Amino acid sequence: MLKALVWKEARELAPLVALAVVAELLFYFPANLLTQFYQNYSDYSAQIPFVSSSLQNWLLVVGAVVGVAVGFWQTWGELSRGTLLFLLHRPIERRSVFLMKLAVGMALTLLVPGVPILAYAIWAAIPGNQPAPFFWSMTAGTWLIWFRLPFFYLGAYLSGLRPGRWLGSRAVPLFAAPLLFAFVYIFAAWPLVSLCATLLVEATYLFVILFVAGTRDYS
Amino acid sequence: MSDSIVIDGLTKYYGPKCVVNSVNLRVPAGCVYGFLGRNGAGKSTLVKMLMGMVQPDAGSAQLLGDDCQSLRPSTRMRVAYLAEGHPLYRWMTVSQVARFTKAFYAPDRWHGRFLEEILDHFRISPKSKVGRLSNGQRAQVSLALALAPDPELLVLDDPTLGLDTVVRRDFLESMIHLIQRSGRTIFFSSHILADVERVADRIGMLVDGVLRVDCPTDTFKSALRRVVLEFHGSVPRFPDCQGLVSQSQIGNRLEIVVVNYGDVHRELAEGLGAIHVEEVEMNLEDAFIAYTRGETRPLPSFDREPLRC
Repeated sequence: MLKALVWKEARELAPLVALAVVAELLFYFPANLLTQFYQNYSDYSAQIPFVSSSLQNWLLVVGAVVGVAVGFWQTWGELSRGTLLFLLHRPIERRSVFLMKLAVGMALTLLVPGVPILAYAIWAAIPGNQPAPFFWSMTAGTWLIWFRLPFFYLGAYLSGLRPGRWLGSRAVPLFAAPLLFAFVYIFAAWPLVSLCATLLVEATYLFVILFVAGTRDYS
Repeated sequence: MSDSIVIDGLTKYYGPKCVVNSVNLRVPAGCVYGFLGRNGAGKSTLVKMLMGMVQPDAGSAQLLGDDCQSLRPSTRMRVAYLAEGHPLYRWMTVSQVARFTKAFYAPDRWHGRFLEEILDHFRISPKSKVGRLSNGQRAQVSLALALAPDPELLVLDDPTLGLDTVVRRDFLESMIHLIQRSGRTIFFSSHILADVERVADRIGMLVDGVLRVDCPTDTFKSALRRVVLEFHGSVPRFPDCQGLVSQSQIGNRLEIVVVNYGDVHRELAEGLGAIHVEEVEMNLEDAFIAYTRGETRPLPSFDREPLRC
């Protein structure tokens, strides 16, 4: 039954993922190619992967947007279509339904930017592909930011799930996501602390989501 | 015989408004229970509390002996629930939604062949997209999916809402034909009297969140009487007494609706000085309206105050 849930979530979110991939390909590359063409004649340092290149930043922005869209789609979308009543009556623990949704949503939020970032890093690591020196440690900052992308997903998920009289109060968890994102950035110089702070924020979001999912009315 | 549904003092507030007020109810196993009420009376809220979708503010309820607020998966497997509007994943085909639903049930519990036969009966192709089905067809698919795991209890929240008359009739007839077997309990809410009258053994009537009626359908129909009292001159109010459901003034007549009209009521009517008293039997629709309409203001009379143009 968990396989069926994963299939349902993945299939439902496939159009969003497809849009994100299109955004990654179409929106970034034409602009970046022009920039690189110009920069080829001006400044080589602009092309150092993960140091001065903007590709990973664009991918992270797309990842954050995908996270918000997936979070809302999985909760507010399913609530407004009424299908959550159908889903929650299946003979399975309610917690399992929400955990499975969260697992799929988190995976997509991380994979959509993560796979191209990894591909970019591998490409940069292969000698001859680009003129600048490359060390894997250069990617650490990007991965730390990447690991914080679920803030946006979890914020949107909680905003979509929690009942609220008006959109402003409902969206508080989503509004909190960029603030927490910036707050954790304070610890960027200490990767381990940054990692722990990220995990703490994500665990708090998860705890609140499961609490709200278990106590709210589905009317 | 054990009770499939037991409700004790179930209460729900939305803000300051009490939408379900201390409802007590028992539905015996094997019963077809029609749960009536006007729009906004609290039917859906009560059904959702039964299914554990809405948390009550007070009271408790049990389905097949299991507490509604923590229904175990093993109990959910024995209970079918058709939510209002028959929500299904519109992007799935009928066979996909069947496969998805089947994944949650034990293989020996899922009757795939029966599901196919029901879909065939309704002439619904398994390849059809749910989103392209009409409301009636979606209701039929929901019913088929609900029956495939052979549930002991079916809880249907206004299953015929939004269906046209012909589809509604077909749906109900199929429902009764398919569902009824010994020991299977059906609890369905509706605001359509004809539906309930046709299929329910027992009815409950929710008025502004309060359960005003809970009895066999025939008892309800036979116990209610409309009594028309005719007067010369002004029409008095009927005094408050046991069994008085409603009273309304139409011209020089006073119409009262009374449960178990008897000697006490007759004496009161005579005491008012009525020149003519007539008892009229009521059908379920009239009885429902009398129960749920509430107090009405007297209608204007043309013969006493002619319109001036």
